[in-house]
Amino acid sequence: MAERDVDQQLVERVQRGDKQAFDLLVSKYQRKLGRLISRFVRDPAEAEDVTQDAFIKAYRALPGFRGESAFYTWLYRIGINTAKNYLLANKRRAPTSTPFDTDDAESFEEASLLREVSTPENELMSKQVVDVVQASLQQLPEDLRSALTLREIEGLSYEEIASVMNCPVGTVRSRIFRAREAVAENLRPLLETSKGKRW
Amino acid sequence: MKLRIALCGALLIVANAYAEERSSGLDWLEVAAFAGHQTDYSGVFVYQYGNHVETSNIVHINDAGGEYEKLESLDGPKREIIRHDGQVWSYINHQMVQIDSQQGHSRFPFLLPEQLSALNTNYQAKLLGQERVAGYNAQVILFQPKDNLRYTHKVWVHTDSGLLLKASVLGDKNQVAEQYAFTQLQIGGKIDRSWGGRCDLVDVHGKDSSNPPKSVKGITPTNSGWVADMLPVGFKKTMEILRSMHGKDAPVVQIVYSDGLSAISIFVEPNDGDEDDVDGLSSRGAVNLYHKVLNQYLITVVGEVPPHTVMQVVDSVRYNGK
Amino acid sequence: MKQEISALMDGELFEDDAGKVLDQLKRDSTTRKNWAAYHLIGDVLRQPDHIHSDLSAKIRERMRDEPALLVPRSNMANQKMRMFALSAVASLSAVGVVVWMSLQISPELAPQAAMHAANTQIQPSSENYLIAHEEFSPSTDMNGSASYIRTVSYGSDEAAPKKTPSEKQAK
Repeated sequence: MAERDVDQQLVERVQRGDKQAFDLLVSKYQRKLGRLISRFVRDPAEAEDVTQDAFIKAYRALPGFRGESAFYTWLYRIGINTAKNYLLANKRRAPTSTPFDTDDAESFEEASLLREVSTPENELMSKQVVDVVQASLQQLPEDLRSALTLREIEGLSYEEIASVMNCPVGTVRSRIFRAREAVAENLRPLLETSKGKRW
Repeated sequence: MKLRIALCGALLIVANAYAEERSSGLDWLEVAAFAGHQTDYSGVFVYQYGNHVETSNIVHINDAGGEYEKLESLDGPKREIIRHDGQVWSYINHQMVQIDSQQGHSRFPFLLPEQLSALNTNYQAKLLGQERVAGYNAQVILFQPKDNLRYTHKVWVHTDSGLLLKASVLGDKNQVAEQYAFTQLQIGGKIDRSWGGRCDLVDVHGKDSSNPPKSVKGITPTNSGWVADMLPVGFKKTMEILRSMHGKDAPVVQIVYSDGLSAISIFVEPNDGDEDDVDGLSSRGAVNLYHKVLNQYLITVVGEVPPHTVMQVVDSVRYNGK
Repeated sequence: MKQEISALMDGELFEDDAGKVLDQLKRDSTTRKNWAAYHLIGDVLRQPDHIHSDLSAKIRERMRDEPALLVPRSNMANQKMRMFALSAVASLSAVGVVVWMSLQISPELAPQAAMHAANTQIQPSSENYLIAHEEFSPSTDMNGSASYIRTVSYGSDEAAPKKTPSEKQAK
């Protein structure tokens, strides 16, 4: 079952009423979509808000998704449209000033929500996560590190990695898993402590 | 009977699948048009037609100050094009000249809904899968015209950002009439601003204070009375203006028609008798141009359409006014 | 189970096994956390500069108000087989359309087209028309300034807009 089919399976589950399956798609795509949206919406806090909106829109549009394209391209298009509408709406409302300096209650609430996202604390967290992952990767035995890098950065399939590393596919599978697990092990304390903010 | 029902059903679904593919091709195009304006990027692209290959550097920035773009040729004598929102300057021969000014040309939306629906009528969009361009993953979309009066367009759109990474215009037998392709591209992140943006513009002005940018005097909508009877189906008039043009003392009538992907411009101006040797067809990449003298007027037709289409249009231009 | 999750996200599980892992993901929150952590690791490796704080809790919060979906089976995403079977038919009908269209075109155009494969390059003195045209062409929307490269193309030194009427190219 190819990666794309995994998405299809998850989408189908959501379409059958399984909201939790959507959560899995969110944890898989939130940063990719976030990066895409941040190219349009520059302010990080606003971009995170637009990313949330895009996921909600995607959920509402899911009944119409029939799998003609890959889920992620479909999701990206929704992301771009959401960003576009956001920029358009903002332009109309307040062309030069920031959108959060009015004193009506709604936008105040919105603003405080957004500020919470980009507190220095959260930024520090993001940086810590990156540091831990990168440091853990360096500590991995060479064969585990190569396997994970070939998979995640080069995007090779297990079979391709097997031929690059000259080992059976089963070994690739276990190396990648052990690499991930070793990094995740170092990451867990960090993710658990921020339970309130949840990773 | 059963068979007939099954067949009807199948046809319906085919039509559906068809419509969906088409509309998702258009979606991509809309995304590309949007991303092209909204994304910060810098890179090197190659423009190719016939035996010519040209390499240029491009920087695009969209920030609070507006949309800036700078294009610099890397081959041959130094040439630059700078765009700031609707205005275009060209820096040639150490002189800064404003060559275009799209007054009131809004930055949104880039592909108007009418344009998209026109496109839908005149071309068939096909998704061709994904390819890599300049190291990025791209969705390939083919726009096949429904007649032989326009070119086939093939575009490669970055699946992630929506940026156009490559575009080919294909003539008959699918030979490439012209092609743009990024060979190197940086999307987002820190764009080197010494390349582009307001400071750079001011800088160039400062250096050349003896030659302040010359402005295009203006563009006014008009109803000239000039018409073309033989436009290909689906080309709709998008504007008719009276404009000044460099090198011309008298204003020139320009009528623009578009089928969503390509445009045809008709220029009409008094013939000063000086230009009678320009008669005929010439081309650059996918653009064809035809000059023709009609009575006291010089008619020029320009478009990203095949030569025979340009000629067909030129031959049908006439004055229909009072 | 963790190893299966790792293989599943790489698209390296058989369909039956994948179903089991997905069921497990639905039941067990620890399994979901592993899924999330493994994906986070991949994203950090690929795009370390774009790691933001986790949005899934906020999205879950907002999802509480959303109704569960109940999409009729015939409209669901996994219709690969049918799509494949139909695309063969669809391409047949596409051929039909093209043939029909080409019959619509007036016959006298074809020889003309063959005659005039324009081999004359646009003269620098005509470049102003090109620039004026590009301004309103949809291709400019798509390609941005790249379209203008046509106008700063060859021989453009003479193309600098000038007041002296057309320095004629020797012909």
